[in-house]
Amino acid sequence: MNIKVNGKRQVIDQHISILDFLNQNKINKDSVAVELNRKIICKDDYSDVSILENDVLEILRIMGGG
Amino acid sequence: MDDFLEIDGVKLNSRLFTGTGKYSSDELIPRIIKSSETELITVALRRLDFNSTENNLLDYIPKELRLLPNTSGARNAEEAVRIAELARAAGCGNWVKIEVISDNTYLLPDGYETAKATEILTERGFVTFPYINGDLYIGRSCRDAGAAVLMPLGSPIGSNRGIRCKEMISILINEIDLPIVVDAGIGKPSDAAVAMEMGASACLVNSAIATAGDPIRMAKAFKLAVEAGRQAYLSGTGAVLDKAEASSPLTGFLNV
Repeated sequence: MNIKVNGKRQVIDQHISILDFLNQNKINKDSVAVELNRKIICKDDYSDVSILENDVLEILRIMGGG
Repeated sequence: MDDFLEIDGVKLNSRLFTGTGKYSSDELIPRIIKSSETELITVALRRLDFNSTENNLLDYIPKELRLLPNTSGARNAEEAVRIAELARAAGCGNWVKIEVISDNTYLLPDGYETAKATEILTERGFVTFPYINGDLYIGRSCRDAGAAVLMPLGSPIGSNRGIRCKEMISILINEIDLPIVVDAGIGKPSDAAVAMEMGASACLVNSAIATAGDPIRMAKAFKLAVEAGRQAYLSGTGAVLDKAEASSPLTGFLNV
């Protein structure tokens, strides 16, 4: 299944949730914010929201800044 | 006498806000926090780099500190709102420094878009800290839009050029009944002291500490300067005169 993650095309397994995707990529869910098709997904919903074909995923993290 | 800065019901004893950008290693950040005694620290939000091995920045920041995420990277109000919402979703709380910049040379803030973002984000429950030019009208627009704090720049971001906008910041301090926090361009502790002597409520310092030869020592120097400037402001500085006025008595000289 094709999706776009942080601006880049990726092929991922079908029927996976956002939490599955984060776990597969060893991303700590507490350290990121996730937007799916321009909609912010609450951390509590990561396991309930599935990623579908052609979805656009943005994963952001806290960085140093002034 | 208690002298704290109150924002949204939160009392801050330290009037030095620090940033987390430009450090050679995030591992320095806990030592900077200790040395500066800051109670509020800024962070930014960026796309996750899947190849990065960096740790989570939040692991280096004690939980009792207030986080102030910025909306850097936003070029208009809509983008600033999006970034602020993402920062809240990431767990940064509801305080946000609104940064809207489309000029890449001087990184000067777009006042109109900043005021627009301030209004939207305030309505959505954020405590807003707009980063602005020292412009009275923009300051009033942001205040009317619900800003909790105004953050005028001293000089361009990261320039270390000091308080070049002194007169304009002074007008904001005199005319707008909100905490005025001088942000950007503060290069030396003496710059921070100048801002505090003028009556600024606090200073935000990042580059000047992060790029110092010894950032830990510099963090302490800024802490002392901010405190000194604040004490001077509260004391009331003496009048500035055109001519000399002797400090020693002008009578009772030896008759030589």
